Amino acid sequence: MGGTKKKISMMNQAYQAGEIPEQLEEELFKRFVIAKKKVKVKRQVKKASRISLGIACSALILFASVQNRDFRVWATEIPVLGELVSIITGKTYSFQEEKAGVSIAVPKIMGKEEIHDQLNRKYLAEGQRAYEEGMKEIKKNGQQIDTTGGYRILVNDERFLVIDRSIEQTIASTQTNNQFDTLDKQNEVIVSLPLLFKNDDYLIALSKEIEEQMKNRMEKNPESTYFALEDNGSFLLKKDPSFYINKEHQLVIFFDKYEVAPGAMGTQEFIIDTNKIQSLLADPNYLN
Amino acid sequence: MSNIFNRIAKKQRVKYYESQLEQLIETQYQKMYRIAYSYTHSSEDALDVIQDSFQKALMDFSKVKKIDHFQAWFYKILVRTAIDHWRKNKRMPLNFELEDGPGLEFIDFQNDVSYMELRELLSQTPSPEREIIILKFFEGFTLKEIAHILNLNENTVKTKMYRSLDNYKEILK
Repeated sequence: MGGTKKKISMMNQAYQAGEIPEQLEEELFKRFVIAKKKVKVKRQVKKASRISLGIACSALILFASVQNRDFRVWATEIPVLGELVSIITGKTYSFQEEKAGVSIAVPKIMGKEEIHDQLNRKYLAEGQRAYEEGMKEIKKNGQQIDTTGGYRILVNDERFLVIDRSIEQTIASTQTNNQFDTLDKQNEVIVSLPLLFKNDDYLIALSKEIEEQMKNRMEKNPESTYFALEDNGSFLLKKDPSFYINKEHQLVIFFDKYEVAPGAMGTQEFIIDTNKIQSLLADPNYLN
Repeated sequence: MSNIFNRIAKKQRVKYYESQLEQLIETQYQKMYRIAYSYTHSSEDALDVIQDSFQKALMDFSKVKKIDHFQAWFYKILVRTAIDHWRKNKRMPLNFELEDGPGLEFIDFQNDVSYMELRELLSQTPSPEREIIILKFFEGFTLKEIAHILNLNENTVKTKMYRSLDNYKEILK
């Protein structure tokens, strides 16, 4: 082994004697900075292409769905390729009889983030529950109950994804229940009002704003009334109201039919001017 | 909420790994260069291989959760990138230079060994024995680190090392 050792050590000497360029350290740091820049650019390109592909796809789907009813049915069935957050109909629970039926379409977010999984699981569980409840109603009442569950994508831009799920129950009249999920794509969190605002003061501010808007609407249209207004004309928003963030990134408070006004007036939405609540937001620039 | 924390943690992790890599460059830039050079035999190519390795490492920082042995982790990338480069160039029959090198039979181990001779010797040593020799005897990595870098069992590294040493004994009589 001794001879080999000597040979290895000679080889080592030769190896170590290999020339090292001058200012190698500086050169390597330069290369490190270049690599860093390249990685950054690569990421940005990836992100940008994802976003633009997403915009292109949603624009196409939106356009087509406005144009054509058949497409609407079909479009919900096709998954969109790529890494963008697209939404497809993950599962459809349906049961049809002559006079009664249940049909629940469950949205599925095609994304890789944990938050997407979380929402998908919730949608699936709640979709199944809605189906079971619809079936129970049919069994209980026998006939003429129609339950339809569907969803709409209200916003899907680079900042927010807003999904509105509705359950519609038709017996004699139609009762609709809407549920909104606003997903902040950049922070991967589901937006909630307590998260959005610094403290509970927002409930008072929103109540005032909605009260004002209700009164304005009643003035413009004498036929409309809001039974949610107290006798003294004030309105108090209950905790955890339904809300979403619209395409202009404004906060919208939503009320289902019968919730604050007679059923004939349908659902009620109140767009909150961001300027009016800016000082109450946890991050004043969040909605900009 | 936990997602926000995850993102913050991820950002911090990436920052931390970047600083680790910077430290590694500062302390081991010669080592990186020698390893890359032993495959490329050209200074410019060696630097390119190192830059590519930086790029791969930086890309991976945001993907991996935990890096156990940072040094070994980085050299794994470097060695693989170097081997890839070497394979690519081997396919291109431009390596006249190599054939001009002195044949093994001319290496006189009684006296000095030149870098050219060493190169010839290494080029005749197959992977992963070649990496084991370079990393173990020339760059002083431990067997455990080498096992990490080459994704091999530590015992396998040992066996292969002794086998190639025997082999050298044969060739270099």
